[in-house]
Amino acid sequence: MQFNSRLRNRLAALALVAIATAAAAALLWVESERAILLLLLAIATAAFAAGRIGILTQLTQQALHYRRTIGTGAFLGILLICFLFREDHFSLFLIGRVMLITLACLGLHLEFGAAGVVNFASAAFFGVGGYSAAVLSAHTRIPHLLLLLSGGCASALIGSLLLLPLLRTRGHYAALITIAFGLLFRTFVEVNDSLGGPQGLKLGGFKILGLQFNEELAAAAPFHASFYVNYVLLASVLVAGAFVLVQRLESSWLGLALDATRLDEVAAASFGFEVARWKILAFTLGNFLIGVAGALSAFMVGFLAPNNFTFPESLTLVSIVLLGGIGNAWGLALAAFLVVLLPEKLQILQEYRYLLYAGLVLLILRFRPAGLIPRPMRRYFGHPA
Amino acid sequence: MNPSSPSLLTCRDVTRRFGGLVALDRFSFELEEGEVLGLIGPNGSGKTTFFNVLTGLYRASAGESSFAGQPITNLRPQEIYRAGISRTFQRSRLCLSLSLFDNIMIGNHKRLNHGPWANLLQRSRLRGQVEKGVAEARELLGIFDRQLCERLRVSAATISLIERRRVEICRALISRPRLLLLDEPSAGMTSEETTRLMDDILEVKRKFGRLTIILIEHQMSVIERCTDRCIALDYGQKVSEGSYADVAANPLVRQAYLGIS
Repeated sequence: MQFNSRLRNRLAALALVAIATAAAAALLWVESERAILLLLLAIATAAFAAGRIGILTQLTQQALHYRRTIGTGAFLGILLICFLFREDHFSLFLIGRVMLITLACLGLHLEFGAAGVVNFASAAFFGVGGYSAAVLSAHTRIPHLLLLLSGGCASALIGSLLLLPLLRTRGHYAALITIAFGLLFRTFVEVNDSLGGPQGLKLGGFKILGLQFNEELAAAAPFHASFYVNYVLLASVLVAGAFVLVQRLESSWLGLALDATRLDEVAAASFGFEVARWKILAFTLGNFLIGVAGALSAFMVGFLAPNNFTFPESLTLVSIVLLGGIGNAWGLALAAFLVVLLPEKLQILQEYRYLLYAGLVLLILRFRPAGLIPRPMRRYFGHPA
Repeated sequence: MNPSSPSLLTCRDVTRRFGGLVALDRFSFELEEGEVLGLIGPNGSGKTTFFNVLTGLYRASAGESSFAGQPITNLRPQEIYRAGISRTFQRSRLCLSLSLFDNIMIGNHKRLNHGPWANLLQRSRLRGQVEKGVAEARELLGIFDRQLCERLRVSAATISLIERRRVEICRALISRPRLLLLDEPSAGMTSEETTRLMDDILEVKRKFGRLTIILIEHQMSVIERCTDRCIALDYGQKVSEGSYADVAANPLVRQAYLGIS
């Protein structure tokens, strides 16, 4: 019987992934704004109704215990979407962007959601990763895959400069420090002609082992596919890696240590936690992930400009973490999808983008303070049973 | 180890000033291993300040203390905990959004492996540690509450105040400290509930062998019943020390604390 119920739960998890994939594909496919609005309304109503009768919570909470099933399912779902939209540059670009934003937000989630270290300069760290990749790819022959790593390292390194003031402050003051850093970064790039100044900087395409990412992988497949497929696939591998990392961290003593640090520094110190050490770990690892995302994003977009790494962009990333449910990686992916996709699909919203984000955050905080998918209790290995 | 002082904890002239206020004034005492010491005194007499100085949350303005023969004056809270001193707080400091198990494991920090390798890659070993933790937490919590120990997975926000106290005491006990500091464990409880709680703690003490306890408490019946010795503080100064009967009979204590002249 136990096997049966486990199977049923696993199927429920897969069904959830299938529904999510279908909804995502539908949102990407529909073009007329009216149809999108209707579709969104339908999805929201369905989610609301399911929430009202309690299915949604039950389903998500159960499904969250089958992370591996969901993870594999989600990966297959992405492959399927890649295949369905193989010739559609724009949709694939959006998916790639969702992936990279998710990757960056996973980093932010470690800092903000797990260890409670505020970071309102995430877009700047994203930019550090991008600019370091751009400069290194222009002036050196370092393999591009390593440039992703070096982008992450550059971001983590520059972040470590902020650690000294960050560890000595809390709350609003720590937030102000990161905001100031974001402003500094933008000004630094704008006045620095070797970084392209306000006009920005162009990059060549990404290469692995002689494989040109900006060319179609036509030889390998019997069908035509946009070159963005390459970026989406690489990004999904990175996101999958980051997901595994974040979830393993979460379901281990390390995650508990980060929680203790965030929730009560005094109690944590009284039970031997080196609060500074855990904050440093979270901030460095988080910035690393943000930097890696920034580096790949720079290659995918092919262009960097200071205007893309401003304070409102940082706020957007923070709002994704808030929307998704602080401390929940899955909710974060969902929120990243909505926040990236909606303004692109609803052109009417473009100008009011930040208004939309702000409104969403207000609504979420009012009606669902724990986020779209609230964080479940920590389960290590199904324990404590 | 200094053979001439066999006591577990020695405090000599421990003083803490906040500006002009002397919250703890040249406080000296010794504590034998296995003893249960009651610390009484009116509000603001320096009891909690003493705990905070002893555990490193506040620096001592003067004086020194040693634990198990080692000087511990002005060590950081983390080092005090690792030396074997564990505490509860006057106002509950459980992490309400975490499960009971997580809360108890926070107290077990020094016995858990926090290496990145062990946590991220050697998952089967971690699994063993988690299972051991569950067994220990369940056994310990079971002493206090038969029902609660079956609900380790629920969030600490969903349990009652008394249950939270029990979890908090388990959090302090799980690392097997040599000295346990209890800061008003009974706040907000009836005297029967408090008595039961203290009986449970004494049972833990019996099971653990030589656990030493300092108890801050306002309910005199609890002090009378559970402590071997008693110290009364007033305005940061020790006004009396001895058995409960002696301390309660001391005119200074009666005036300062019991309001009887």
